[in-house]
Amino acid sequence: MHELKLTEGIVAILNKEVASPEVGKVKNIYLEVGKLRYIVPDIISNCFRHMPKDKKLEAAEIVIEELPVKVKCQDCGEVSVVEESNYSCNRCLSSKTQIISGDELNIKGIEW
Amino acid sequence: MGYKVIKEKVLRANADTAKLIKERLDSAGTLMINIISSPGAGKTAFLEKIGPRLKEAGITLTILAGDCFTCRDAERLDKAGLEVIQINTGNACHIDASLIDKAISQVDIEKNDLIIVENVGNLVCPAEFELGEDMKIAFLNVAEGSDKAIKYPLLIKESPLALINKVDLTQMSDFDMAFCKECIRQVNRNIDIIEMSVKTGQGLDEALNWLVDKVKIKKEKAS
Repeated sequence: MHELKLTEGIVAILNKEVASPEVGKVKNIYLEVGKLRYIVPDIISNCFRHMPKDKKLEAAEIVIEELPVKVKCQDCGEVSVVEESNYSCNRCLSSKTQIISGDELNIKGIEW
Repeated sequence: MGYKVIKEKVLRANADTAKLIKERLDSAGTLMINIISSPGAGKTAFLEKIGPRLKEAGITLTILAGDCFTCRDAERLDKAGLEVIQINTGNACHIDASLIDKAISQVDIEKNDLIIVENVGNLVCPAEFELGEDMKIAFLNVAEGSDKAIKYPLLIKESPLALINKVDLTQMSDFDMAFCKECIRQVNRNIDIIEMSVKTGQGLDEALNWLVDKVKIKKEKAS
């Protein structure tokens, strides 16, 4: 359900961006999505395909770069990439870590 | 051929509305808390019990009760003598900032110390949408199992408090409290955790004191 709301947000932002005369028929829309976000790429692509939008966006494909979840160790300071649901420090194996990234949901850019 | 860097949050429109809401609440010194849980975790029952106690502690509060359909939660809270506004989201599985904006236009913010959003029962989507709140509370419960923190880490990451309700059911289930707390701390090392049973009253004093303290801190910041 929220993929629809997110796609509305994407289209609203991009309708304004493509108004610039230098922007042609968009081929790719690049999104950055952190792994903590519960986004299903196929659903976003489907929603986007069927959503009314500027003519310059009609043939565009959504390309999602999935960003990893990273934690910072409060014992040794190491920044580790989280695999599966193991939030322990990769260096000292401490469980005293804090999530510092992985909740991104951004439009990175467009390519035409 | 060309490329344009955009670097824009997808939820920018929602974030902008949330920011305006927060600014209004900040200038009035009003604390807003967003309580998020799965359906049936006990949010409404919790508010029925804690709401009157917050009032007794001298706190003026309004509850924004979110549900897809019906006004059942708002009716219960109204019967408990609490100020409540029902938000019906229809097919939407979460409340967003525009709905909060509409709801708080009916609230005299200056007269309220605390606004509590009882979000739609859902551990997934509500965590993604800022409402202008000062903080989220992760409202877990024994009946849903011990591992929800690692299955729904975004909510845990965003919350300074996890309430674990229905501890009176622990003996009747496979729920492992130590494992549940370990999962929570794995995701958010600094979170406060309160074991609670709205039914028996266990943990309610602690939850009340936690909330009263946060209201006090917000008021002091504004003055």
